[in-house]
Amino acid sequence: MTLLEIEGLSLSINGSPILKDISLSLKQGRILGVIGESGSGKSMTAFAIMQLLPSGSKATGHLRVLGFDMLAASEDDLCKMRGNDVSIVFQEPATALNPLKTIGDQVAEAILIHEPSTTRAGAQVRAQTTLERCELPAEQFPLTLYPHELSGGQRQRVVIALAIALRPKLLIADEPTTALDVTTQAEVLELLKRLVTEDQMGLMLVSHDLAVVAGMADDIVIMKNGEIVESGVATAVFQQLRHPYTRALYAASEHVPDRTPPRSTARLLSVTNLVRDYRLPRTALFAAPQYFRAVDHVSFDIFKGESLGLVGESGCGKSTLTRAILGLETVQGGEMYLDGMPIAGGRHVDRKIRRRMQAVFQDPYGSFNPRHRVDRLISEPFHLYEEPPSSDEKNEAVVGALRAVGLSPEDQFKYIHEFSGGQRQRIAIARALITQPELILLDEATSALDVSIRAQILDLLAELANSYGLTYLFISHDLSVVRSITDRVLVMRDGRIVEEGKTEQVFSAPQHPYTRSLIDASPVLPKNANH
Amino acid sequence: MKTNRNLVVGAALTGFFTIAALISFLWVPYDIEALNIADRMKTPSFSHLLGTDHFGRDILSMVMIGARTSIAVALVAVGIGMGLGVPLGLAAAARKGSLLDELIGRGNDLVFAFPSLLIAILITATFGPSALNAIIAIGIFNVPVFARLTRGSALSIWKRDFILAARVSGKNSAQISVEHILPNLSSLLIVQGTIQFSLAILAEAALSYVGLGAQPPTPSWGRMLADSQTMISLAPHLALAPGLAIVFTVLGLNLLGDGFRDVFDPRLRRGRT
Repeated sequence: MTLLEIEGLSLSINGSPILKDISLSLKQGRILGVIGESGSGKSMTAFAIMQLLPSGSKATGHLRVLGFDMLAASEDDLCKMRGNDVSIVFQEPATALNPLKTIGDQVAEAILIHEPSTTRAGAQVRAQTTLERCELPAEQFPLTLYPHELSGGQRQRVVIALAIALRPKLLIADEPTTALDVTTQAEVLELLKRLVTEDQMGLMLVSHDLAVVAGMADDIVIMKNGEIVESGVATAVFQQLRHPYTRALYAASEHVPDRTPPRSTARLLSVTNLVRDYRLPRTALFAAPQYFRAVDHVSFDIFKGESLGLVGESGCGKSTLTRAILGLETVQGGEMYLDGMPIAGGRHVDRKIRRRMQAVFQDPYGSFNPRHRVDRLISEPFHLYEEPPSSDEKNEAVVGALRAVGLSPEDQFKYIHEFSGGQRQRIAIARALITQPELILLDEATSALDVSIRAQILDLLAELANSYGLTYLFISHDLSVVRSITDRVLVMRDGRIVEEGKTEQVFSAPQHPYTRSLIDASPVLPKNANH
Repeated sequence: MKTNRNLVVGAALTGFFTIAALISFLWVPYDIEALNIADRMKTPSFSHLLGTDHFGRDILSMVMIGARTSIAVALVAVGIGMGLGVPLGLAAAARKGSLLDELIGRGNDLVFAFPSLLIAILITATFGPSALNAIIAIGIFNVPVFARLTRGSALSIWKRDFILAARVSGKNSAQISVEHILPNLSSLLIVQGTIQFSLAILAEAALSYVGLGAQPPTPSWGRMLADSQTMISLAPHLALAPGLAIVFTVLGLNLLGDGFRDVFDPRLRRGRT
């Protein structure tokens, strides 16, 4: 049975076209993958199906769910359908749940809204079975838990339980695993797959990640700028790669930048037995304070000109370690040397040392003061000089840095909101380059970018490393990116480094079971003969 | 760039009352200290544009001179509140969880814990009723408003990545507070400032109403309202003139605040071109 039929769907919001002539269909028991980069209209398609569009939207064409015309339906009818026949799972489990209600109440509420004749007790019982189907057994996860008592993956299971509580025919999942770690991602995808088979649902999986969709979907739709550029059976699409955009996406996803391997054996940064403890809030007034050890006796070296990867899941301490190296954390033990000079962990780090290290952070939207112009943003690290350079020198350096990252000198007079995510990350790199540092710490620097932009930024980093002799510490949760740009890699878990070695060696023959589980959980692109 | 309508209307209204206050230093239609009982409680006419009060004084002249008191009191009081409150809030946010943060926070609580009018009465009763003491009393109650607002919003900005980038550039918390935190709070502070300004005008009116603000014969809008209250059924125009003056000044200031916020924010500024 065809659950979802879309034909010639066009959508405009306040007059500007968002979707153009979308046609797709989804049958019972099948998974449809919708792939696209940001701005491709993939989420808007999902919202159009739910009819959860922003005000000022105008949709034309045919959109039928279970044979029911969604475009002509009244709001009352839509409310009856939403959550009952069609459900949606959003990206961010942290905000999709009400923090003031227990998980049991939230799932029960979904049941009570659509079936008001159910008793409260009956709804709770059904909530329990639904949560158990989503692998949250009642012994460990009683209904009385609040969302903050759960991890990200467990919260996403509750969100899925909410969506499937009434056994909808059609389930839409909009980037359901993007906010999750790889191992959790694999589990949640497995869960979704199982539910589709058990309930004979149709699942529309919206994602930017080719590899995730490739491992799940029966059919595939690839979107760009509000249009479908290619669609078909998943295996065929990935085998043939007919459309140039599909090919480009595929190539960008497994892009490996050209790099010359480092030759130097001189140590640039050496860290020994680094410890960082956080004090936890007191449980009782006179109780001894408890500590959480975020970084636990970590030791490693970075050699000059090398690119070292640091891999780990969220909460493993990799960001704390980065901040400690930058001298932004008070450390409780251990030593760090940059080129033989000690880095004091604390507030006052010698400016001469700090000048030689810079950092690029993850969020291209949050790493700039929106009130300053680009020239002022980029030249901020000049603060590290005792005598600030003259305005001519400063200007020259700003222009030089902008050129080095592929932007034009005129861009210095603009404000940051005038740039796209990829351009912002270039500006972040320009800011890191301006004091001509030797070591750049890249903390998830490509994680928030689309695959094609990510490939460009990786190329840029490789090129800059070659021409300026830069050394990178590349921190990421994304194994495929780390594999493509690093020479050696460290694997971190619970504040400790569990494995260390040459990147290819670690990836092809992981020694530690944790490394192995990480690699196994990472989604892989299907091998392609034409490519 | 498209002109900002809020800004123009706001500036026109505020400008109108400011100019009226300034002109009053040089010239007013009638001497307000001269009583003319024969002409008392006249409705508006050509000789008295806004009529006269129960002593036969010209209301237009009194509103003009009253604008001086009301605007000056509100301006200085909000100035005190912002000048002390914003640095305290920034300091508390920069040293979150420290003893300093606790002291500032509890100090705010202490001031908030007392009804503001009660303390204002206490201050003016102790030091004698005058416009200056009213200013100080109103100013003190503006401090925790700005301190709390600043601390709360500054804390959320401290979590952003560009603060981390500034720290990597070796900036200390004072420099970060001034260069990065404060500019991003400006729109919030402007809006809150205009709200506090209007509240200060009302607070001055309230203090004058109970006789603890500006002393006779100096007129203020609040005292004029207070005086007119007993005669509201006989001569409603007595209350109307100072009342409308307060309403339009406050409205003008709010529009001006909104306009300034839009003009100063680079994101909104470019969005309009």
